[in-house]
Amino acid sequence: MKVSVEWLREFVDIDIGITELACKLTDQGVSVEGVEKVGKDYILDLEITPNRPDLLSVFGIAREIKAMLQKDIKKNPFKITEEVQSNGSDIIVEIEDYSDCPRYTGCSVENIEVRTSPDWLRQRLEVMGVRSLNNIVDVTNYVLLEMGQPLHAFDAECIKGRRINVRRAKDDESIITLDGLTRKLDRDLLVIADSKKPIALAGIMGDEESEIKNNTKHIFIESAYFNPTLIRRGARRLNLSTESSFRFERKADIHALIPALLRARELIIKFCGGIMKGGVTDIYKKQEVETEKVTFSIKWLNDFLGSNFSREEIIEPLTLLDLNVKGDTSLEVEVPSFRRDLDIKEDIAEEVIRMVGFDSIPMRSTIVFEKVGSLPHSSLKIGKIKEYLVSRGYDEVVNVSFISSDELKPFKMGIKPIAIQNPITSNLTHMRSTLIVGLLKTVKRNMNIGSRDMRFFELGNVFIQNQTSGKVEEPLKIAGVITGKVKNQDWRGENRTFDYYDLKGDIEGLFSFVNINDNRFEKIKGELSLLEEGSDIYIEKEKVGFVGSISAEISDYFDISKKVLLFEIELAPLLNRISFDYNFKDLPRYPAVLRDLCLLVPGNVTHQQIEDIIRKSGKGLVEKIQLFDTYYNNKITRGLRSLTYSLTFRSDSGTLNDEKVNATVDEILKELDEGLGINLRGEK
Amino acid sequence: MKFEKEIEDIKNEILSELNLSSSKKEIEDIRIKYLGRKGIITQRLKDIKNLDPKVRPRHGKVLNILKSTIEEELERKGQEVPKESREEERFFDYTMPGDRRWLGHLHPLTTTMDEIVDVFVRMGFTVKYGPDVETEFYNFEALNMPKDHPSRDIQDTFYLENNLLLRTQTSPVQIRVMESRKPPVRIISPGRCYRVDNFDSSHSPVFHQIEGLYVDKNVTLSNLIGTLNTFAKAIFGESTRTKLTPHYFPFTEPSAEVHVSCPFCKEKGCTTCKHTGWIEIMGCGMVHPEVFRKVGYDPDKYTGFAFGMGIERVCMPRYGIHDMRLFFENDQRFIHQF
Repeated sequence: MKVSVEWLREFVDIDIGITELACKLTDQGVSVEGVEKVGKDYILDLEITPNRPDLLSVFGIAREIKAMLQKDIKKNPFKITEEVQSNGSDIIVEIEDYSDCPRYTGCSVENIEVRTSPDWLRQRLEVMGVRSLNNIVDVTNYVLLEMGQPLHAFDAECIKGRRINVRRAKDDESIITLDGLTRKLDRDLLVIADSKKPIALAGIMGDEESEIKNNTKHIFIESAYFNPTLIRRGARRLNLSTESSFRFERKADIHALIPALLRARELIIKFCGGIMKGGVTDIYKKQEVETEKVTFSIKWLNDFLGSNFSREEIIEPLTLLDLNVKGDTSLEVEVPSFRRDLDIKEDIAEEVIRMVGFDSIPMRSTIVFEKVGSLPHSSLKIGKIKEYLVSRGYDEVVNVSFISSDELKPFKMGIKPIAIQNPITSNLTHMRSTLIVGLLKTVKRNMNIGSRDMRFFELGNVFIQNQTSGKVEEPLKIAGVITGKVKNQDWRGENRTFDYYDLKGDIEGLFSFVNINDNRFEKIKGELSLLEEGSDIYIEKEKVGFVGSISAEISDYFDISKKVLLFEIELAPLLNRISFDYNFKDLPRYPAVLRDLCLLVPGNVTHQQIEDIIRKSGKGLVEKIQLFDTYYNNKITRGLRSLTYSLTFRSDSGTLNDEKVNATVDEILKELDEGLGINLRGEK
Repeated sequence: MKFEKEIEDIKNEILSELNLSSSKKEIEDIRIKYLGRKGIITQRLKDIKNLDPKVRPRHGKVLNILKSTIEEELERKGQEVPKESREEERFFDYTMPGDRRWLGHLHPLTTTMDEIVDVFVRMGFTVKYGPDVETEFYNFEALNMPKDHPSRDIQDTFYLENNLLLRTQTSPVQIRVMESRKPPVRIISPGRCYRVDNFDSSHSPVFHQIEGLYVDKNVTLSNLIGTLNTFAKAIFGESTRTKLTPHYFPFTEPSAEVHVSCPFCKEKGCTTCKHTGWIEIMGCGMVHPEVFRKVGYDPDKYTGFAFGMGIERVCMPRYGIHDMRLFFENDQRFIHQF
């Protein structure tokens, strides 16, 4: 809300500088977002919180400043009164339902002359962001800005039957609003209708036909109070927020209707000519509780705030805010109609604090708790995983949770991402169902700035709709991406490009770091649309992720010209298995025996198959299996490859002798031969 | 004599490798490969003790002969390598770049979040998490923001299908925790939040928050101010001052915004604090009785305080970051500074 300081000065003396004024208002909870100098005037840009509709006017802000600076109000536009009757005007008003419109007031002025407003009036409106139209509309806007009560002026000759009916619209009705749009109406919208049809969307906007035109002679001015919820729903539905609807939504002051109406009539007669026609109409269903009262004890207030205020220290600031306080140890506060946000004793406590300042409350942080604070185990485990990846050279990235569904297409993952109903841009339309999209975009962005060697990881949740239950699930995932060389080019000249085994090694290292031993890398099941060379990752029998180099199609889509490898792993299976309850095993007491086996392996047999057989037939004596050499060359029969393993044998029940080890090796070789057709090199 | 044959083969292999070598480094590599601590010959000598005692002396002798032969050959070859290259290698340049392995960096949002969490955990708060996808009830209604109430305007919300939404704050976690147990409740909830905003230097549609809640008998506003003051000093330094200004949040009453004295200029005014000397870092207040009623707590029996801060908003002044977009662009040059 913008407010002119010159205008404020009409109501209250401001004898401090603008900067000080801005600071004081902010400290009192009326945050000043900006100050602009316009000629001799200053315009304050205020953040008015939704609980303070009373501050949506110049006078309301002046009243706040009055309390703050402990001044008097110089002039009060609300101090106008006149005898009013229920239907004193020449236009007859009827209200269909008082819960939609508890009060409706209005009056007529005839023989007015529509023209442009005087310069000072136009300027006042314009500095506060309201466009000047003509003297009639300008006056209604002036009163709205000054007193906070929205008004509407109708061309009285367009009110058919000289009757106004405040009612719900009918399903087949429509209206052409002042912005030129035809709007279809229904029972959920409140309208002002004449005897024939709607002539305004109540509290939101008038229609074209009854608007003030250059040749308008007679007008009817409306000042009403509409149900805030109804106005808010209507404005939202029609996507039509106006100065009026904004104020009605936040609850106007029901006692301000008549003063605002009279003030508008007075100004219209002054600036537009015209004379009164008839009296003032006031249709008002009085509410049961007319005055709001809040009671509390001084002890409660001090206990709640941790303060030590005396009765006077409490009463004085409240009185400055025009609250009437009675009582001794228990206080009764009478709340004026413009402060209906003050509803409960906590609200009154805040008013006291606002006036005396938070620094009058002592600071007490010494609360000793019975229990120490703690982190969930999952946080500690996640911390460990991040610690590992960082030590392996991965930078952590944080991507937003939004992607476009197009970005998911090249992956052919078969997951439909969850759509956002109101996305901010066309490339952030869905919730991410994988972290990979974000990581590949991160790679691309860094390539654009000239980076070549990258290792990134992200840990976060993705969003998936469960196919059976339909519920949205948010599994945590960890994903990583690498590209470029394994280290900086240096003078020793040892370097190479990242490959599958580098990334696989990092993942195996991660599992080993968190003591998960039962992990395997298996052939990718299903379509190979994501990875060129890769594998699925399993823990025990559960598939938890995948690793490999991205396919050409995906490289193309993300416009990445370098070889990129990535992995993505579900976090839950890891977190479930990580334990900090380490189970110490005694150090080995007996020596180990090493044996090297150089095997000739048929082309389609995997290392994993060999390892599984060695473990199985090793009778628990094989402590470690290390593949340390592999080659194909022309000494070896086509279709075979040579794999050399170093096996470590150890028993925890005694020193192993040659005989025992040899027997085990023989058994292993027999099983390898029978199971996989593998022989020792040089034997056959 | 299978064994002697094998040793002969090894010897020939070594000699041919030596023959091909032309630098001291290569010669040294050969020495390590065969005679180093884990060298092939060394290993064979070690393994002798595991052999049948009958063959041990014979094998030992053959291996020792091999070892000394190779040592001689290595020495001879060492002499042969051209003098210049040896001289060059003998100059030990202790200033040449060390062999640095890459080390990753954590994202500053993670480190900031961890630090904040750590401060509150030490004060006795326990960490609780909740989902990003929420319902109207947990995100609004239970927090005293009824449907069609203007207070909802403060937080423009992303909606998904079936009336689900992306939480606009981590306060739904507080509701979920209060629903599940009786006071005392003393939690902090870190997490990701969403509001309909475009990216600019001070806004992002996705951001991170930490919220805290303490509910018990006799919790006072004074406790809140004290707790936040302790927090601010822990994060921004011992000389930091804290200032509260009144504000409005539907779920707290009274409510306030918390400002800390600018860590860069010490209240003198600089670009980080927009020349005000103060930086707004969070909102806080006493839990609104209506929120207690929604979770079945008796507001006459219990009081509580709540506070919430944006991690980005805390991180930015702390490190002098002037553009929020940097957090989500993941430029290596950015991440490597933390």
